[in-house]
Amino acid sequence: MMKVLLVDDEREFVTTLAERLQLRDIIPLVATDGDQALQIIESEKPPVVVMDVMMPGLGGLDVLQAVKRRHPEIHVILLTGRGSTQDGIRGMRLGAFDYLMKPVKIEKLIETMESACRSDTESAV
Amino acid sequence: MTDQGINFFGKITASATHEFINILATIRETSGLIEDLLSLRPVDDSGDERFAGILKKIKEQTERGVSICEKLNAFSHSIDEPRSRILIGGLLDQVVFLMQGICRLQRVYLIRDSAHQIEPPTAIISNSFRLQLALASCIETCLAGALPEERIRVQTELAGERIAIRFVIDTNGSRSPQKLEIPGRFGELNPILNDLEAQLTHLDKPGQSGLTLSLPISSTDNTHE
Repeated sequence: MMKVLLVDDEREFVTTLAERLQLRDIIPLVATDGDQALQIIESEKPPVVVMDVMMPGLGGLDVLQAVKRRHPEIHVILLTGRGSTQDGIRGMRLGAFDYLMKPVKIEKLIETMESACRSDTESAV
Repeated sequence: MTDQGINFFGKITASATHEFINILATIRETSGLIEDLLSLRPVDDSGDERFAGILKKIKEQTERGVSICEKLNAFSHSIDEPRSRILIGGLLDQVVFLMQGICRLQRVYLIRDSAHQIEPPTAIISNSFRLQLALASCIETCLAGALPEERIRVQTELAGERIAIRFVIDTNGSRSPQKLEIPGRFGELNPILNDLEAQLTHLDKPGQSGLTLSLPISSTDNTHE
């Protein structure tokens, strides 16, 4: 079963999303800030991280850079709520696998997560 | 409004719409979770139809809220850069969307005229905020000259070395077109129109009233998408 770390400072949003993913046989881990996210990444090493860009303190792009430095094999999918795509494009340049605009349809999110996991299999072949 | 004032306004609006998007995302996920849980119940539970109807309403209004917030958020970020590459079609979609509520109050319909659009989509380099201000002012002027149930059609056309954006009052043939008064506030807009190298004129089509805002292609990056 796929394991994913969800990172968003909006607790209600991220816990509800986790519950929905669990109903779809995906193992969700949850963090509500960048520091907590990095701790969970070190201990659990989830293959995929879905992360909000705009968070107080350590933002999504800062966490992305840290993850790519220490664990380049982990795929990061960014969620951005901004009206422009600047954050997403910046994130792609920093090594994000993809970026999605909030609010995101769950089917689209799962499709992107599966695509990230498949990219490991394809590059290994 | 000074640049400082505009920047302040944009920052606050961007922040507030970002918060709204987060709220709507939470509502969407929560209603999605209810749908998921309902789908796990036995099929012939008669209460489900009612729940499904309620959830459908929540979803529709959430999508409506998301649409408004996304456009408003994009608008509030239009002050971020003094000059940027702008897809004219996309910008017009945004302005038309944001102005529709104002037009609706007078029962006038504001629409992008799909039969009269530049293909392929064209980008220009300009100041997004000022351009939107000029476009919105054109719409407001047409609104002042329109009657309830009439339409304001927004069209684009390449006209020699310029892009012409036309705002046409569609009276459904029910009355003779009247020349619009270009109000005094356009005098206040003159510095902005000069900055955009824009020209504002009455519509030159027989049997129609409206405005034409033209922009020089020399301010374009000649990029076609």
